[in-house]
Formats: sequence, C-alpha cells, structure tokens
Amino acid sequence: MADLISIQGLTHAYAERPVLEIGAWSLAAGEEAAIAGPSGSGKSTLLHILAGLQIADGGTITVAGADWRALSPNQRDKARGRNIGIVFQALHLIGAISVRDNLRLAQRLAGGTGDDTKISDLLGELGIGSSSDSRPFHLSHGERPRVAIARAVINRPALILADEPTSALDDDNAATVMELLRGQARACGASLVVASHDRRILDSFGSVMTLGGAS
Amino acid sequence: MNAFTLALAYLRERWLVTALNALLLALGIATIAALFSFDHQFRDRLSRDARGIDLVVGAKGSPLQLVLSTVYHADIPTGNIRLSDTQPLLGHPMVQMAVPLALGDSVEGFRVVGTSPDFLTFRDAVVDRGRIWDQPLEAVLGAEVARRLGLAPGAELETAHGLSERGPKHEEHHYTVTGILAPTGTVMDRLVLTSLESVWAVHDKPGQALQTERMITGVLLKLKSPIAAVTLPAMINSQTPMLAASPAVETARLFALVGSGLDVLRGFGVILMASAGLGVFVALTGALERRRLDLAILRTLGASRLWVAGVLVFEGLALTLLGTVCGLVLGHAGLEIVARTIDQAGAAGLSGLVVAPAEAWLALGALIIGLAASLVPALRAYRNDVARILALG
Repeated sequence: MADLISIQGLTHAYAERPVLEIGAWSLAAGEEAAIAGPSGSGKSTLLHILAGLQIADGGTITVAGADWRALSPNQRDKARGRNIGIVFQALHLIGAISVRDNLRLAQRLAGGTGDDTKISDLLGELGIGSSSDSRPFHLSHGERPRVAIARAVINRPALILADEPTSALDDDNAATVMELLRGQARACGASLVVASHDRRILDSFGSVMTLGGAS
Repeated sequence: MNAFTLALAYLRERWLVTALNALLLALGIATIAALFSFDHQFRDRLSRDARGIDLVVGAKGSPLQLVLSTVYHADIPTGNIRLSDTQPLLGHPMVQMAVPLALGDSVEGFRVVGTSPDFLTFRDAVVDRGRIWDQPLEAVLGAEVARRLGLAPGAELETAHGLSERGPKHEEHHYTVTGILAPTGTVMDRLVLTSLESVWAVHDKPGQALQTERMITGVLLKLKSPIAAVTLPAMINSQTPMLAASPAVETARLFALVGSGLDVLRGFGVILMASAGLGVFVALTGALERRRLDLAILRTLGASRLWVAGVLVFEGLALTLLGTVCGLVLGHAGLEIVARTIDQAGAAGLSGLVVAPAEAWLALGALIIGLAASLVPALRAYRNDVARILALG
C-alpha cells in the first residue's frame, strides 16, 4: 500500500534548541500509528508539522502526496481542510455555534457545501444525533469528544491526527473514544496517528514511534 | 455557515457586550442624525416659507425680527407703519407685487393676518373648501388651524389681542369662517387670514371717531429685478421712516446664529461616535484574545488567514451596522417625540420621518469607523501563529 505519510531527515528546533530529529518514517494509507514520548518530547510539534500548521526546519515531509514546504500558505490551508482531520486533547469546539454548525463549518472550510444529511447520519452513528442543535457547552463530558471526532471525520479525510485524545478521560471514556476514532478511521479508510503518553492506549498500537527529545 | 454567520454567532454569544457597544455607537449616531435631520428640515422650512418674498418693509427696528414676524410669523412685530407711507411702494416701477400685512391678533395661538386677497397668490395658496373673504369679519383658515381647532366654513371664531393664547378676547367681534386653505407645508397652514378692514374694525373703539391714519405691520414685496433688491432697500431705509429687510439675508444670518449651536452639538455627537469606535476596537481586541484558540482551530479546519481575519472584520462591521441602524432609528424617534410633545416644534413642521441626505454620509462614516476599528484585531488574527497558540492551549 502507498505511503500516506513520508518523513525524511526531519529536524526542528525552538530557539536553537532541537526538539525533533527523525531520520525516516512512513505510514501507509489506512494504517495507524502512535507517537509516544514524555511531555516536551515534540509529539504535538510533530502533529503540527504533519498537519502543515508548522514547517519543519529541515527534511522532507509528504502527506497525502503533498510536500508541505512546496505549497503556499493558502494551498496548505486548503489541503489540510480536505485531507486532514484533527482531534485535540481539549477538543476546542466552537462554543458560539451548535454541534451541527460546528460540522457545517468544517464542511465549508474543506471546500464543500453543508450536507445536513451526512451530518445527521454521522452524529447518529456516534450516538449524539439528538444533540445536534445544542451548543457544545451544553453537552455532557462523554458527548463532547464524539463531536470533536465527528468534526474531524466529516470530510472523510485521508489522515486523522489526534493529540492526547484520552488524557483527561477515565478508563471507560478513554476506551470508547479510541474505539470511535478507530471505527471512524476505518470507515473513512483514513490513516490514524495518535500522539499520547497514555499507556492505556499506546499498548493497543502495533506501530509506535517514541520521541525522546532531540539532543 | 460562513465567516459572516460565524461573526454573527460570536456577537449573539456575547449579546450584552454587543448590545452595550451598539448602544454606545447608537447614541452618537442618534445625536448627529437628529441634528442633520433637524438642520435639513429647518433650512427647508425657512426656505419654503420665504419663497417668492424678495423684501419686507416694516417699522424700524431689528431686520431679523421684522423678517421673523412678517415672513415666518415666529416673533413679535417691530411695530406699526402708516398705510399711507407704503402707498408709493405699491405702484413703484421696481415692484412686481406688494401685499400689506396687519398683525397682532391670534386665535388659540394661531396668528391672524389682515391682508389682501393677493396674499394667497403671493404665497401660492388656494382655497380648498369654501371661499375667500369678501366682507369684514370673514376669515379663511390655514389647513392646520382648521384641523387643530376643528373648524369648517360657516363656523364662528373669536380672536384674542396679542399673539399669546391667553391674550384678552375681542368678545364683541366674531369672525365667520368662509374658507379653508389647501395644505401647503408652509407657515400658511398655521395662519388665520382676513381683510385689513376686519383687523382695523376689531381694534376700533366703539363710540370713537374712526382713525384717519390706518396702520399696518408691514408689506411683503416681490421685486421685478435683482437690481431692485439692492437699490430699493437702500432707498427705503434712507428716505422713509420704514425699514426694508431681505428675508434671504436675514435667514442667512439666522442660519449662522443657529448653526454655531448645532456645530457644538454635532461635535458632541462626533466625540460619542469616536468613543464608540474605540469601544468597537476594545471589544474586538478582547474578542480576539478570548478566541485565539477558536481562530486557531478554524485554521486547522482549513480556514485561510484571510478568512479568519474576515470573521473579525465582519464582526466589527455587523456591530457597527447594528449601532448605526439603532442610532438612526433612535435619532428619528427622538425627533418625532420632540415634534409631538413640544407644540412649537410640531408647529414648525418638524418630523421624525424626514431623512436628511447627510445621514447617508453619517452611516458610511460609521461603517468606516467600524472597519477601521476591526482592522488591527483582524490583522493580528491574520498573523496568528497557529501552532504556537495550540501548543500553549
């Protein structure tokens, strides 16, 4: 299977302090991998680089056939909207608008038109169909991560990135979130990359890239 | 869901802050809009009321007072002049039309004007119901007088001495209404017209010999040429015991006097608007700080820098638009309330429904202020380092 992510000689530093050095790493389309490491080891930075939100100081990073460095900022924004879904630890749902509008917004920003049927189907699939018109802060602790997952997968991305998606959850909710993430990634045929230091989920990944902080 | 609807959602989310900022802007807009409308109506009314009158001749005194009393019927007359003194003017080769006026009485605050039937031609007024007077103690009412006093042709009315509603009544003389004028939108609507002879008859004391020298308040003149407007006043002022005043000149003086007061109020409105612009800036800067994460998330969803900056610009513009619309409505509502509660304002034809052309510039200016106030926060949003914001959480 073709590589969805390909990293060659990636280096990155903050204020001349190296935080990432990855010789070569790749992930095939539809596969999943975890990025492990202690706090400050560069897990989030790597996710940002994979999402094209940050350009690495050195190396070549290709995601879904696009070399981020070769794209203009606008092209990167468009490519990200189309190809990548991101789930954050703090979820970061837009509180001013309803769950449905959060998903509509994701559709529009990816270049699509708001497809309400698709949104309803997805929310129903994730068990939050009845909350579609609620604002995110009205949802329960267990419902909000589902909305974040729905937003990440609504455009059927090629790659789903999740940054510490379970760190604030109890065992049951953590297992549910991972199950939903994996299920949705499979349903989209997307690759899944999860950055975490949560042993409960790292053990469930066959492929784990451990970052120790570049020295 | 687009940048504009998202901006509206953000405004709705913090509705109290939005309402307060819009109110601040609305107060500035309302003040200036009301002044613009008042100024527009004031000038328009004065110009309509003086249309066709080139010169006013009356007793010596203040020329502005003479014009106010005989053209606008808004001040007490400067005094009386002998009718015989005005006779040379009536057939003067420079004069196209001359109409005498005898003022001094009123009906429920509406002024009685003793004059000749030519006055109607002079002021472009026509009798809508009934007929013009042709006997002593017959009167024709302006449209508003008839409406406010509920009078129709055939009705009787009693005049009072002086221009106050509380003046002593001329109880021994009753006028009969013979006609009602069609509305003109000028001071004519608020006058009670009758013959000079009626006014003299009311003031002649019973048992006394008739006065040999009849007095009037003034004469309105329409001149034949612009040159006459220069030479005739000079001649009247230097060679007769009367005063000649030009409504155009005196009106310009009045505008200058009133205008400086309006300028002060307008300056106050501009300060309010500038404060409101600052308020919009502070609100959007605060919003930017609160929503740094939201805006970063939008970028992760594929929004371009311009799109994210656009959310803040739309927010500023929507807030300004809300304040502007509320301000215009508030300003005109305030003017309408003034017109309805203060008799003199209503009598002068002031209305909250008249929009001055300058208000379009006011609205445009407000939107530019809103745009300017949103540009700095929008630029900061444009330059946001998404990865750094996400890392800081």
